[in-house]
Amino acid sequence: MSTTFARTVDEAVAALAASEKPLVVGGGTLCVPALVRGEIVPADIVDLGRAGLDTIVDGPSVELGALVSYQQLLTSPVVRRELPLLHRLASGITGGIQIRHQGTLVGALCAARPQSDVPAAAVALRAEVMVRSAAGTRRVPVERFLAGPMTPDLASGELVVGVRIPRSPGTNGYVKHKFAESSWPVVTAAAVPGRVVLGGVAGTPQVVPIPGAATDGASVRSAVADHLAALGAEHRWTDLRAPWEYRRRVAPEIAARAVEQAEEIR
Amino acid sequence: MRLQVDGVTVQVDADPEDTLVDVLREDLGSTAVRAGCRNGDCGTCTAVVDGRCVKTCLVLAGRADGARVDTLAGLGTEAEPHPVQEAFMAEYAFQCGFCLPGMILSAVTLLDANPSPTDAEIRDALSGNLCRCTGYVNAVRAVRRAAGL
Amino acid sequence: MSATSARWPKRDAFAFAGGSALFVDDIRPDGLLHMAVVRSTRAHARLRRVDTAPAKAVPGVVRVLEGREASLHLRPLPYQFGDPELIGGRRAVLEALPVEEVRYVGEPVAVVAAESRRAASAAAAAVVVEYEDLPVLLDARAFLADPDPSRVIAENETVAGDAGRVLSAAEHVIRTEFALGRSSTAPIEPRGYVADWDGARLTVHAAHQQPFQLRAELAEVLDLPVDAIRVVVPNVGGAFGLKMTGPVEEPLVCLLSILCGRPVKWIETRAECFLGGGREQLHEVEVAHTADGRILALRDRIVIPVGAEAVQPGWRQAFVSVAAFPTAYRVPHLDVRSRVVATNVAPWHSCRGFGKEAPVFVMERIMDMVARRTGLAPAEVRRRNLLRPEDLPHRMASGYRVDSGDLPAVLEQVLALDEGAEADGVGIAVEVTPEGGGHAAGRLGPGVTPTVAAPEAAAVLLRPDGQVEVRTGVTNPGGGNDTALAGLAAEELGITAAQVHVVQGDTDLCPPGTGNASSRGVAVGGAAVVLAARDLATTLDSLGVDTIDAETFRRYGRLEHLREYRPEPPADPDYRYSYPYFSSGAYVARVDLDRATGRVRLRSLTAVHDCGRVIEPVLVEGQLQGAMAMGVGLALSEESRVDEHGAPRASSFKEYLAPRANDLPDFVIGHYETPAPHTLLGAKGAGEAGVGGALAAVANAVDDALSRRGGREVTSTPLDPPAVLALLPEEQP
Repeated sequence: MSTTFARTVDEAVAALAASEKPLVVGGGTLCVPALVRGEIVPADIVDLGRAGLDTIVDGPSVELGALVSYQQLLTSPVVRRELPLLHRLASGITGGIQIRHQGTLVGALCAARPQSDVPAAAVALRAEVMVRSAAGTRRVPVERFLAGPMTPDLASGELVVGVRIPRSPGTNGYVKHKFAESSWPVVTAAAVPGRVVLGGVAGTPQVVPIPGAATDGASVRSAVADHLAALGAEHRWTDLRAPWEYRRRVAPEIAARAVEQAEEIR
Repeated sequence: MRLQVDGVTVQVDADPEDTLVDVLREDLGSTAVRAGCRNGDCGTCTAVVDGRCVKTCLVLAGRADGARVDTLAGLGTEAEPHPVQEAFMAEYAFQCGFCLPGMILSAVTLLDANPSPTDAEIRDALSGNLCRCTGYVNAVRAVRRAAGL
Repeated sequence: MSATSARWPKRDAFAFAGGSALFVDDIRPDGLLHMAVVRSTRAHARLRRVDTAPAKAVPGVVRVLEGREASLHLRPLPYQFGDPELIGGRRAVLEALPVEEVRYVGEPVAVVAAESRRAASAAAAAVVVEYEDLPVLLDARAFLADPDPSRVIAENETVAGDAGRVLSAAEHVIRTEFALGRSSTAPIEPRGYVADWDGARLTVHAAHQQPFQLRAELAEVLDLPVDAIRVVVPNVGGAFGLKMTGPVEEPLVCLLSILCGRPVKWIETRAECFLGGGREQLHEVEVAHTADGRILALRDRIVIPVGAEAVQPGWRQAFVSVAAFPTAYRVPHLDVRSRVVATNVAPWHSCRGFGKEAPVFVMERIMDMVARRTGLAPAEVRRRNLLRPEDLPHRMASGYRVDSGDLPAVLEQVLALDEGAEADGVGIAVEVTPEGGGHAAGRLGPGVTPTVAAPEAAAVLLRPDGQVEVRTGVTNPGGGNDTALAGLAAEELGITAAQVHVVQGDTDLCPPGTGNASSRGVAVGGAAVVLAARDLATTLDSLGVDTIDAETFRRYGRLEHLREYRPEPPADPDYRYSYPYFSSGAYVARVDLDRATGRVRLRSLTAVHDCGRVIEPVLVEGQLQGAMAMGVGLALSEESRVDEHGAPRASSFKEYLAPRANDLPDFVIGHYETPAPHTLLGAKGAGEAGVGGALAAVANAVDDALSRRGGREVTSTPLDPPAVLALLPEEQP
């Protein structure tokens, strides 16, 4: 097994291309324990820790490198100003000070866990995922990138170098519902003007349009309930924490709270 | 690889795919980081790596090459304990003591950034560390005490 | 120990706060090998083949051992805490590694010793096991649906009066079911052992509660003389029952050391630590009560799935759960019967509370149900049914003897102490906790074996450096009883605690004892220390010694005094020995309930605890805080679930939701002291109380919050949001 601590993205991409079965390590919070337990047995490891991907660049879109930690999201004035939803999300990440220093938004996207914080929020913010390979860069809307539960749209030889998120300084809200501090999120809701996006109800984030005139609690709850009623059985998410039936029942309220939070900010 | 652990530069011959907690414990004999879950949950492997308070069971050793690692062992001495150490001892904030690397270093990190935290902020800052002995009551008191609140 | 170490409430505090304290995984003798365990992936299956050849081919592997070969070296495992027949249990012949059949997912099938932890795990993963599946039983409901008598390993009862007659005649009868989930203890340090065979003697460093019991077990299973084994317990990172004797890895790691001629270490992984569990029970209850809230009769039919049969003491908690009924109350007609069922999940291990938490939960829920039906306040129903001071000592139907206490006073004190914060629901609970050892109660009669008190012993002696050394048979898995023991010795000798050196957990140095079990450390172990210290003080007086220092040792030597102590409740020819003291407590929980999601938040938890004479208030409060946090966890979030194939679904702290700092409020604790009449110091225990009380108070608070919102009654734990929401009618969006 070879281990590459890449100094540049190009070096990482080259190491990736050369490996039969590589493991890309970003923040490490998910894959390092799995590696230690032998649940992942890669041929090679490509570690991005020194590849210079921990920068936040302001512009018409805010660009977050793949190694930007939740703590950076919390302390970045740009994020606080332009992407308050992410600031709020980062302040509630499970695992204490340490995981905020180690976990990354891009890592969570690549894990594509339906029950995690990031997917619904990234969809709400219309993030664009920057995927690199030896062939070049491809930009993928996050809704497409999250192809299915635990299934990111990543081909062999590809890695995510960052995300671009259009500034979204105004009206937005983020509410997650979890059962205890140790618990992963059960239902999340990210509200931006015109829609609310739900995590934890289906294999991929669910977008529910919320017209500007229908942001009262009853309208939001009813829009979400209708959306979930129409969701195909094969998409309904369930895990150890809660069955689908529970998620269906609480999601309208979580969505309404996210929209209410957004309205309060307005 | 080379590390500076609690101010002392050391050279270690470790597998780069080992985790930092194992390098510190197995190769360097540290007792000030511990393995409780190897899953990033319990916090007892906590150390401050290049100024960031992290769980070392989640860090590949090779990534830490050249890093400065500050552990609980380097924080204070028995004659002159760090104020957070002193507060944890004075408030009986631990029983078995197994969780202390994470508890104390999280508290130090919190107070460095926020010298007058609220109770909610204290509890949030300690939330990366599990303790089964104390119910956290005295740990929260200890952080308050260290903050002079 | 340094001169400053007594500055803090905990002895040697800086060793912990500074990170230098040694735990078992810090012990690394030269030539160390690492053990890994191959575990069954099936819940119940015949073992058709265990192929170790691929494991032996892994670089760094020194030895691989499966059941057939292990059985050539190991005798069957001895039952811990006495013969199973003592408590109506069936005896099984249990081997460290199975040869014919596996009985749960995670059961050890083979072990590997290798040069590194990584090589050992890789080799364990390479062992090929072929199974032939057998029928699986996973829980109590499945047993009730199709009761298989061969699964019943014990039946216990506690009976008084004629509950059937009273129930059939009563005007007010409550019929309900209660279910408690399977849960664990989950100390932050998992189990661990370092076994070192030097050709003549076996030294075992173990993260353990009971070194002498471990030594005896190893001697029997390995067929070694007891004095050929030394068990040493370093600092232990919490135990809560988990680290008692009996898990099969104990003889296996030692056998590998003997066979390899090298030291071998095994540190349990977190997933392995989450295999075991306890506390799961299903109760079918009928209660007769009067219109003015007096309980007339209680019938309870209990099924207790204890996992696979095992020698470790865990399954005995099922006996205690029955015998501890009806807890703090007077119930004239009682008929409680259990079936203890062997299931295809990992065996029960001892869990803080030791079976006493379940009857507290059931009785406290019953009190609130009676309150709801009679319109009385919950506190008033309790006042009308509690044991009164004049009822004590009180012999329960099981034979347990409540020695002392003032339950109404404890209840009133906690009601006054509770600050009454605004909350959606309030719950109270009263708890009695039998302690001090003596779980196998019952009436004596023909063919019934009597039981006796287990003693603790302590030696007190002078050291060359002028310190006084206390050697005790009780151990300290983290709760800090060393602090209390040093203080007691110091007081007798008129010296400071800093001048006392405490040695615990070393079978070569310490007099035999029960280690850490049944809340005995200070109440029983401390009494032995006091007696031995008193003897030394008398000797020193007779020698005319005023000041103990190095000179004293030079002139007179060690002057070692050894004393044994056992609690002495009055002898009763009609009963077996009972737990010698009962602590008591009362709790008030306040919760908020999110009506839309079922999420409960604990706002406050207030307790008043009577553990007899309080030796070290700070330590006692610390014990109670930890137990209360565990009780809150059991009430709201902690659960060791398995899937439909019996595979654990909670293998890490991401799935097993132990409370974190921001899940809990500050706890408020008050004390009430009724000295224990039958212990030397008047102290009772403080280790187990609080689990059942907090669990029940929180459950009652949730029930109160639900009832105010049109919800149904709480009958199960944990009360996670799906469970709570299921009790509330659905609102239309």
